[in-house]
Amino acid sequence: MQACDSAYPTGAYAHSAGLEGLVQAGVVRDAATLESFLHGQFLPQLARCELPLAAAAWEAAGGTGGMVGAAEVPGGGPDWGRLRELCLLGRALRGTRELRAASEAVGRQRLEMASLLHGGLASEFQARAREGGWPVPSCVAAGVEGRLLGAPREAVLQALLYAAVSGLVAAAMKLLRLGQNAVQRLVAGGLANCNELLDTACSLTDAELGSFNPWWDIASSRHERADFRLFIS
Amino acid sequence: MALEGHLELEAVAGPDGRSSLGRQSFSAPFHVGKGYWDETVLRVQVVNPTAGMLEGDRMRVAVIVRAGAALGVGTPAASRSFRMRGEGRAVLVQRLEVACGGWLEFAPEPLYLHEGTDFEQRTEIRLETGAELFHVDSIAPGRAARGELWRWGRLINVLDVSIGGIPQLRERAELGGEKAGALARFHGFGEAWLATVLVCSARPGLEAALQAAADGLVGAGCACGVTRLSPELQVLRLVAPGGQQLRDALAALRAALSPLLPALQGGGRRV
Repeated sequence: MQACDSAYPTGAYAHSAGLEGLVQAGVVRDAATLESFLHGQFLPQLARCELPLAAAAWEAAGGTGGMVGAAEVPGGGPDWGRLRELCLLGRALRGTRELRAASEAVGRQRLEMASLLHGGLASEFQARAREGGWPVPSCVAAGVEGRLLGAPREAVLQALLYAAVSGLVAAAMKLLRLGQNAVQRLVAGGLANCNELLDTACSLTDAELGSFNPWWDIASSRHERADFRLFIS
Repeated sequence: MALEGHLELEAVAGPDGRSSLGRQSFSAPFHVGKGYWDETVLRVQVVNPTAGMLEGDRMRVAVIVRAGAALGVGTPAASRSFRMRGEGRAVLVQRLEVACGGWLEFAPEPLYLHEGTDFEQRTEIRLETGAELFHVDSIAPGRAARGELWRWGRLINVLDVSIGGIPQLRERAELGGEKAGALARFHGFGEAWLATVLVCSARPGLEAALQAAADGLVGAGCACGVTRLSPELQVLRLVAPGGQQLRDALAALRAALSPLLPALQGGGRRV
């Protein structure tokens, strides 16, 4: 619960997941268009990219044999080769420089906090990522952190989904004229099909991961160079 | 009857600096026209005499550009995937490899997805560090001239790009025509012609030229943005409101980049 609280300092509040670019483009302009974007584009993208990567990272962090530092990890040590692979794939799945930088900034911060608070697996992952120059996408960091905390895979994915949806609508509140009730209705609607999304995410192979939304990527690309912006991404 | 066709091209650099095909192999429905050397690039046109993909077709394309060679691969006409009635999805698998010091332009004409078609395209691009690339993948919303928009059955389009063995980009579209049309309408486009342009080169000035070109295309009524994913790799995404606008946009892009990428000067389709 602590790791998915909005007060947990990952810096996610500074990012809008590309929403600000879509607002600037005039595409998302009110509660109705935000809801359509959430259900038609944002959630499907989560189900095909971040959630399956987090699930795979959680699995790999439990891994196959080995040690974390001097301690033996229950169920075997992490599969570091697989974690590196997931980090690289997670970066490749982000279609713009800005969205990559956002994910990696949040991922590194999450890892930093996990390392500070709990050490062990998070510290080892952090050291390997630094040494190997791995990117650390936020979803991979969340999967590793969840494993470190002993959270079941489903709980990790539910927390990630909640953080993504609530983060999007929190950003939307600053960009659009939305009331509290409308925001809570959007969050509830976004989480309504949670089990279905998680089932999809957990059923995909690496080859099936990925998304395609040129308009979202274009909006994010143009946001990179926008003269005025509230969010980093 | 479904076809299993292949196209293999390997470009090599000769001692005089000219590029030539060190190896080529193809089978129906592919046919390779005689290449010509335009003093910078060896240009090859790939023709599909059957005019397109049919149910159950399996096609494989492998293009290799060795160090120092420069190859331009284009098509004289649009690719098409026709209506399919059964379980047999048509599949095109493309693998493009460019060695350090090599140049590849791979810019086929747009893909037209006919009503009810089921088409899968997988493109894997492997670049060595120091390789250069100009790659265009473009898709029409359907047979727009006939008023047939967003009526295809299913499209799976996967693009994987790596440089020096490190994954740089993965895009994966899995879209029915109806869903693609709804996405386009949401973003304000009824008829959307989509293009993803990859530019891989470390030559200075490219980022500014691409940004300027993207700004110009937005002014011309397209949606367009460019982003730099690595020191060498930039991606320009383009949505044009019509087929002619797409052709004009790609021609304008070539014109904008050709002073910095001389290998682009001789290629491109007349518009």
